[in-house]
Amino acid sequence: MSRKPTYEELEKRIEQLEKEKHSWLLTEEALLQSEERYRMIFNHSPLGIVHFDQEGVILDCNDHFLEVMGAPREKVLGFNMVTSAQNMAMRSAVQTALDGELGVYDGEYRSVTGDKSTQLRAIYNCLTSEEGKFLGAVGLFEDISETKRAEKALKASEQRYRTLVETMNEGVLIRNEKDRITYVNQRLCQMWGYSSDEICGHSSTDFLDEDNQIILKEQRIKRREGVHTPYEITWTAKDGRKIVTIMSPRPIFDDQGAFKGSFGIITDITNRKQAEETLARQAKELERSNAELEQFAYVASHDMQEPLRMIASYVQLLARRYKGKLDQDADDFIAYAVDGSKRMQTMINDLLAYSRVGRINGEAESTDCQKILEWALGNLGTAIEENQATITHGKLPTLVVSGGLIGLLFQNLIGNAIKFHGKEPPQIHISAKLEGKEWLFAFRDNGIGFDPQYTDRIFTIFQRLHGVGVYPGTGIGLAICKKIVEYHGGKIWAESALEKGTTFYFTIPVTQGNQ
Amino acid sequence: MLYEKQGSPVEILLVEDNPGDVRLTIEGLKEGKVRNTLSVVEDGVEALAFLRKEGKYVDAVRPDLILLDLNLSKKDGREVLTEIKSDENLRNIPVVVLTTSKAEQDILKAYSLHANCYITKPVDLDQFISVVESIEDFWFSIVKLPRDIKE
Repeated sequence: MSRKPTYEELEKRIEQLEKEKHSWLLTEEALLQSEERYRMIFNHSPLGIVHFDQEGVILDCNDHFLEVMGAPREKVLGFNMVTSAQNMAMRSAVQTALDGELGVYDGEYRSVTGDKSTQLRAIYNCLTSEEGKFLGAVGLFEDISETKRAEKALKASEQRYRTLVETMNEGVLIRNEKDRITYVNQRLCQMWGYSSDEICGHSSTDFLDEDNQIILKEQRIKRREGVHTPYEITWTAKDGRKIVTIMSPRPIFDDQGAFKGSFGIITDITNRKQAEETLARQAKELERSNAELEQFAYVASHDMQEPLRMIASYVQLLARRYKGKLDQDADDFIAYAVDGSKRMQTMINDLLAYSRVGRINGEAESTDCQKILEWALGNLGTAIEENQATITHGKLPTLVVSGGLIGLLFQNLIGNAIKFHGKEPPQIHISAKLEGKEWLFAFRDNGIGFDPQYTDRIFTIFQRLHGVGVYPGTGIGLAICKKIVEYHGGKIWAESALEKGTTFYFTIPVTQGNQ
Repeated sequence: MLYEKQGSPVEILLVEDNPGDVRLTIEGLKEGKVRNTLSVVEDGVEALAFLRKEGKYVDAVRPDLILLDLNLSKKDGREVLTEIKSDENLRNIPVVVLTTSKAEQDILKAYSLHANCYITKPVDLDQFISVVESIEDFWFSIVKLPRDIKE
C-alpha cells in the first residue's frame, strides 16, 4: 500500500520535478537552437540543397535550389526526380544515390518545374540515420554557368591565339628555363627547314653558327640586365642556308616571379637584308662613279685651262699685233680663233663652277633667305638697273642650307629672268610656302617664256634654246641651279609658255631646323 | 720715266718653266713703258744659283724685282721664296708671285713666306698685258726700292 507522502516529501519531489523540468527545458532549447542553426546553414548555403525520399520525391530544398531550378517552392516540392526529370543522366544520377552510391551530374540541365536552362554540377548521396534507417538522398547543386562560359571564352580565345601564332608570318619559339625549346610554330619550322619534332627539346644554340652563338650569349646577358630590345641574329637552316632574322625576345615568369624561360618572335629579314645590301652596294657604286665623274670634270677642266690659255693668249697676241697687216682672210680666221678660244675658256670656267657645286661651299648652316636674296640682288645691281627690273617678294624662310649655294641659285634664277625679259621691263616675284615637309619656292617673271616641250632641256648642261648671237652664255646657269637644288635634296622645274612668262619652282625639304 | 732718264734699265728675274708664259711676259714687258732687262731661269735650283751668282751665273746681275711662278720643277716656288726671304743678302729684293693658282691656301702660304705680292695670271691676254704693265708701273715708278737709296 502506498502511504500518503509527507508534506516534506512532496516538497522535495516538486523541487526535483522543477529541476528535471528545467533540465528538459534546457535540452529542448539546445535542440531548438541546434535545429535552427542547421536550418540556417541549409537555407543560406551558396549551393542548392535538395532532400528527397526513397522514391526520388523532393521533400525539402533550400532557396538556392529553387533559384537554380527557376521554380517556386510549391512546384518543386513533391516533384519526382527519378520519374519526372527530363534528363536521363540526371535521373540515373539520382537513382545511383538511391542505390547507395555517389551520383554525379555535370552538364547542361533544363528544369521541368521552372523550364530554366543552366550549367549544373550536382552530387547526390544517400541518407541513412544513425540506426541505419534509409531516409532517401540529398543532392548538392552548383550553378556553373558562369564558370562554363568563362571556360568556353578562354578556350575560344586560346584557339584564336593558337591560330594566330600558327598562321602568322613571324616565327615563334618558346623555350623553358633549362634552355630547351618547347614550342615552335609552323612558320619557324618552314624558316629553319626542320619539323617541330626536330626542333623541340633542342637548345637555340643548336641552330646557330659560332658567331651567332656569341651574339645570343651577349643578348642573354643584356636581357638579364633588363634590356629587351630586338636584335639581329642569323640562324642556320637544315640545308645550311643562313637566315637573317630580327629576334624580339620576352622572358616568361611564373606567379611567384620565377624565371620560366622565354618566348621569341623571329622575323625573317633575309630578303630585306639582301635588298638592302644590293641597294647599299648600288648607292656606293653610284657615289663612287659620281665622285669620279666630278673629279674628272674638275681635273679635265682645270688642266685643260693651261694649254687653252696658251692658245687663247697667242691668237689674241696675233690679233693684237697683226690685225690689218695681213689680208682680210687672215683677220677673219684669227677673229674666229680668238672667239672660239674665248668661248672655250668660258665653258671651262662654267664647267669648273658646275663641278664645284657641293664640293666647295657645301656646309649647311642656318640661312635667312631674305638676306640671301639681298645679297643676290646686290650682285645683279647693274643688270637690274640697266633693264629697269622690278623685283618683289613674299615672306622668305630661314633654312638650314648652304648659304653660298642658295645665293648662287637665287642669283642665277633672277639673272635668268632679267636676261630673257620681254618687251616690258622685267617684273620678278619671289615667293615661298611650306607644303608638307618641304618649302616650295616660286620665281615668277613676265619674260619671253619658252615652249613647254623644252622643259627638260633647259636644265641640261650647255643646252641652250637660243643662238649665241641672240642671248650670250654657255647654258650652264640652270644646270647649276638644278645641281644646287638636288644637292639640298629638292626638285626644280619650270612652267612656261611662249610670250607668257616663266615660273621656276624648286623645293627644299624641311630638315632639322628648317621650319 | 725715272729709270729711262737715268739710262739704266731695270733688272727683272723671271722664274718660269712654261716657255709660252715666258714669251707672253716678254711680250707684255715689251709693250710697257719701263726699259728693262729680263733674265729667265726655268726652275727653282737655277733661280737660287742665279741670285747667289753661282756656277754659270757668276756674272749675273742682281735683279731689282723677281717674278716667281709657284709650280716649278726640282725646287718649287714656295721653297725658292723661303730661301730668298731667309737669306740676308736677298730678302730685300721684292718678290712678285705670278701664278695660275687661285687657291686660297697658295695665297696665304705665299704671304706667310713674305712674298711681296701675289698675282693670279689673268686668262685673257689683254688683262695679262695690263697686269705686266701694272707690275712695272707699280714697282718701278711708284714704289721706292732699296736700289734708289744705294744710288
